[in-house]
Amino acid sequence: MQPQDALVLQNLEHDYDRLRAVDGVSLSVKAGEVVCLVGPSGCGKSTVLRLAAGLETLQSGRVSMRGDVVGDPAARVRVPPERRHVGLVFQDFALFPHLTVGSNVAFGLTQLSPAERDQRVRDVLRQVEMDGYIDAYPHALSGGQQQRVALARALAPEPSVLLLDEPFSGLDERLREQVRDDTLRLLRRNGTAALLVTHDPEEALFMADRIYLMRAGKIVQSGPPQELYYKPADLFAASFFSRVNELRGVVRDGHVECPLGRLCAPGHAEGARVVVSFRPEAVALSHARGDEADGLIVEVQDTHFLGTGWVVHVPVRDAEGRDVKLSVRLNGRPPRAGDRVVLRVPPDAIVMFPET
Amino acid sequence: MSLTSQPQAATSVRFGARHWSWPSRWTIAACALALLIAAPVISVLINAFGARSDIWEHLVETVLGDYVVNSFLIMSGVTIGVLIVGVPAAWMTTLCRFPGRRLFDWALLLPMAFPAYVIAYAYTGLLDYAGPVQTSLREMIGDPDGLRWLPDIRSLPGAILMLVLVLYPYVYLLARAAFLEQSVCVLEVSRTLGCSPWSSFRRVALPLARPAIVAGVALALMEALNDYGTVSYFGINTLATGIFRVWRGMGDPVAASQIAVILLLFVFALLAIERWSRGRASYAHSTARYRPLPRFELRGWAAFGAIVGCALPVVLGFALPAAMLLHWALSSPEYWENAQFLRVLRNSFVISAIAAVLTLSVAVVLAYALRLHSTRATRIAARIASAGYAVPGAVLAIGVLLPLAALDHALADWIKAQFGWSIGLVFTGTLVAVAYAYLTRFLTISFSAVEASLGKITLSMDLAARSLGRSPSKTLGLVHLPIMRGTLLTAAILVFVDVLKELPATLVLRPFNFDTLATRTYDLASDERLVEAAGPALAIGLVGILPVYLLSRAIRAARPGAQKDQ
Repeated sequence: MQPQDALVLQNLEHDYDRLRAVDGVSLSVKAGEVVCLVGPSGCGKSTVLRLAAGLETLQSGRVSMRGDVVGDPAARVRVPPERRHVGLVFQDFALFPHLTVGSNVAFGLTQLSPAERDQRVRDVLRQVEMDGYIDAYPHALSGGQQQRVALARALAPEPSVLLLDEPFSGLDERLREQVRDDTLRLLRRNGTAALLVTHDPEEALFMADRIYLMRAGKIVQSGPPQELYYKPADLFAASFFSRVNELRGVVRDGHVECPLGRLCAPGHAEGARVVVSFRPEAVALSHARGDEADGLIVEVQDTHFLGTGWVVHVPVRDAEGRDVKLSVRLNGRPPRAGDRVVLRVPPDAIVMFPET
Repeated sequence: MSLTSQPQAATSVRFGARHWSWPSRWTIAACALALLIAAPVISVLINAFGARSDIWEHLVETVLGDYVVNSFLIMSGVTIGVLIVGVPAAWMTTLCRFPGRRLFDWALLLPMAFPAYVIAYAYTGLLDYAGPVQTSLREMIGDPDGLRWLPDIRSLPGAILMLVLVLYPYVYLLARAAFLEQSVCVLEVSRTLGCSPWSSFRRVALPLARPAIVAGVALALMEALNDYGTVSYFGINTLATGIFRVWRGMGDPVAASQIAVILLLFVFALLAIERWSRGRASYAHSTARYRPLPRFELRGWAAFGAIVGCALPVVLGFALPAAMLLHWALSSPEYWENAQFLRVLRNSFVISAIAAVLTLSVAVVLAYALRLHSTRATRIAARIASAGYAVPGAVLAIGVLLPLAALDHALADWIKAQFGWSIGLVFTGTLVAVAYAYLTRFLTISFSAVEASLGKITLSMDLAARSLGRSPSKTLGLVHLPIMRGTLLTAAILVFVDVLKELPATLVLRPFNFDTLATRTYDLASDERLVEAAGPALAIGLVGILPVYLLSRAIRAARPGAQKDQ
């Protein structure tokens, strides 16, 4: 454990009745770092957040903040949430309805004198551009404004780490992007360490310095966003962040025979069944002239306009004789349905996993 | 702030794979309070089974049969009565349209304002030989000696009538809520399939509302078993009056406790029925589509019948007895324009306010403990604590007085022996005993209100406050209580009024010479000083209107779609 780590979770385990919700999760958030814990709903990511905050009694493992152990059942340490110095932001914002915006933000500032407290409330509200609403009540605010106040309230006491549980899910899509951007800027400016839990892969890619991907109570993969996107650890990790094309085959003589050709399969055992995967935007299409030396000549089935580009569907027959529909993302003008095209995938965009 | 790894108050220890930790202070408080609430019933059981009574065999041979049969007859009569009055009234005001419907919607609750014993006094005065009804009837037929054959209101059927008139609102309220919650679609389908108003009621609305109606009847019957004032004034021996007669009259607390156990058996059967039906009621409707209900237009004779059917319970259960009491009170103001009446009024208000605050505080502790730690222990504690409303006042009286009196004497003897002081009766000689009984009986009202209100506050409020450095108790004071203040006030008013009306436990447990409106009314009426009793009786009714107003307001707010109607 490094002393500058804002939050370290070691080998957390948590059962609900007999169901294992969290199974050996370890993660760390360094000072000033924004870390996203991402995964499909029900994977246990919110439980990890609650264990970190002390809202759930830790059953096994260890939670440390800024080098101090705050939860460790084996050592009989259990610091209650009110003494862990964490900030929390919720999906429903959880602003206290009976208090004004100013009083909401001042709620956690118990250690300051009244004058310092007022100053701090004003400062933080100015940062989220809500200083004009200091005397307003939460019900009078829009969703985006409430989110900003909730963020200000959590940041005001300068927590060791800010924990955000699906903080943008309550906002409508258009607003979400703006609020995300503002939140990230604020966290960076304050140098706040943050652990953000989300089910939205795009949000995780957008926000995170590092991502932990969770599935069924376990961490599947962790690393910077690009690493998770381009070097996924398994097929689940690959398909979580965006759609992938999958072609199945068997390893023979260190190679896999698939519609893209004979591909080298390093690290896979002879005779193993593997999945060859690549993302739709990695594929290049060009009109077939009939004299191509490489590439796969296919016929376009249909095309769909997405606004930001096009998706083109092309059917291929894999090595085992099954029909597979490949998706291709194009930015420019697409070919028409029925056109014969050449399909090429750069070798470094192809990832191979053992079939599960 | 440093976060050193010092051991905390709540430590967690591993025992193999399972975990064990000390129960929190809140859990311990909840369990202790539940024990306190259950203590009177436990004490009754110990008394009943722990000792032998000299007269029990004698009682079984003589009067016990009467007690049981009369209680049973009253329950049967009240069941039939509240169904006949409450269900059609609820159906007509929710699913039909006729002149005056919106007035009856809330007016049908007015009879809740009076306890049964108060209207029993009013009707006795109204209907007895010298009363206005018989006098004018005799004048009409011109025979000063006629009408001897008229039935006496002071009889078993009369008592049933009194109880029905004030208890039907339970059935009305729950049936009403059930009819409103029924899916609009189901009712519309029944209409398009050609159901007449009557057959739609019989074939669709009634079967769907049946669990709620059963729960309402169970509540009414618990109140009927609790009644002491009416039956004792009418001279009918029931289990409730039997407890008092055997205990106070024959001086046999053991036999009285044994009768109390029989009464408790009746009550627990009702409690089981009520909880079972409430559980079923939640399955009875599937969709929650709030649209204005499709009301059946009633015209001509049908509308006239609806008006009469709704007006009669209001007139008989409220207007007529209120008018009688008002007439008495205004004709003899000297009985209540005096210092004694003011003292009684103040006593009632003080003890009701104490009970309301006490009850509400306990309810908050219990409900918050359940929110913080929803463990088996706290859930059982909450269940026990919220069953107190079923325990009849007479049972509570004996269950509270016997142990407290023993405690009092032991304490007084000990202090005397140790210090030579005479401290008197600390519990039974003060308001402690009576406040304890009120807490036991009326905790349910405030607990269910607080629990429902807490349930509406999202858990992330708690988490936010905790993460901002506030302990659970601080969070309760700074977040939950301010958010709930409206509910708390309403709950306090409901308890206040119920305490004001309570008779049997108050009669026994009040300190010497401490008169309340209820006991004063009872004492005066028992001495046949009905005109004098009118002042305090009317005061009870006036305060009793408060919950009627609150309920009618809640009813209006409950269903947005219903307001747009008409």
